[in-house]
Amino acid sequence: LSSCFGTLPHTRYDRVPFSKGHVVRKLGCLELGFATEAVGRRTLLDVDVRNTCIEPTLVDLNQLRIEAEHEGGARRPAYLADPRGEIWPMHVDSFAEGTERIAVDEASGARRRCLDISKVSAVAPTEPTVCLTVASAGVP
Amino acid sequence: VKRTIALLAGLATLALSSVGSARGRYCTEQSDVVGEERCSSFGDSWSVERRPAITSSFDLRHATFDPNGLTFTYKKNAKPPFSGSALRVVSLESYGLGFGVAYTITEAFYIQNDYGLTANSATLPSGERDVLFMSDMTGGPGLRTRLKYVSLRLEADLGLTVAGIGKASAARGVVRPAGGIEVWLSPYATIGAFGGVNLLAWRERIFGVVLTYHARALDGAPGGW
Repeated sequence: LSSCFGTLPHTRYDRVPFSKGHVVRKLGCLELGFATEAVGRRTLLDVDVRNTCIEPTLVDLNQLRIEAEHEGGARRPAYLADPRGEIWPMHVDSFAEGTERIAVDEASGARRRCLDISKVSAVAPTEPTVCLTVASAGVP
Repeated sequence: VKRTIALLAGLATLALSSVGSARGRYCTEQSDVVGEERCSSFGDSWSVERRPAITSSFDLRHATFDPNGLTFTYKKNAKPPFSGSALRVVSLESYGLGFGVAYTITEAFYIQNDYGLTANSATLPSGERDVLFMSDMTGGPGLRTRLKYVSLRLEADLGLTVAGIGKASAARGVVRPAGGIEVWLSPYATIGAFGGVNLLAWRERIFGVVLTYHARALDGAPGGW
């Protein structure tokens, strides 16, 4: 996998989940890590998933709510781009982990994004909101 | 039967190797962004749903065959046929190996097929002792449930058992309710015991111990069912 993805042009992070720079939230057995990066004119959201239990655990990234914050503090809704309809509720395998990089559909000029993760899992998070500032590709 | 098995095994190997080649050697990834990937899909590396919904099992088994009421015939009528009751046994006992594959339909429902080959020796009506082979080919639906780290299953085996003594053979259909209990050794492996009785000849029984590999952790079933 690393040889397959190693030559791709636009990755700030490697394919190892939970690299530095990710904001991590625990929802029972499920751990989620988030980071954003700017690649060209678009924003990519890195989502790390990890199951710390033996039982498969459900995650539904369709339930992720995103707001993009613009100049002056105005917030507008943003969406995960899913052109092939691949993002649907799935169970994270026993002790499995992985990373997904998803483009964000949003109005241009956003300074940061805030994610509401309260409905992503059956377990309610203690901190349901994750706010992320975009980093440019290549910046550690 | 052996030729068919060998042919199917060869085709399966070819199919699996070609899939692997397509994904690995010949597929060059062009993006790591969901929806733009060419060689993979969302969840490939971590989700249960992206794993094949199959289990494969290997077992050691004891099987019995009721020869009474059947006629054993020789290939090309090399010798005259004889009645199974002329063997003067209640059942023929044999020991051997089995291999099975099950395809998950839902968490509780699956379709399985199974092949067993067992052997021993038996005495012909003439008094000669010869090699006994039994070949058991079955398939059918099954139900299973998991209670923490123990799984119970109940299935219907439908198929055919062929018994051969030397060069003489006879066959009988199989309609066999079977059950099993399995203990999870890891999220992907179980060890267990199974048994069943042929409703068409109740003296035909099978039981044994089985090691199973589950492609989906805990059969892809989350807790709470």
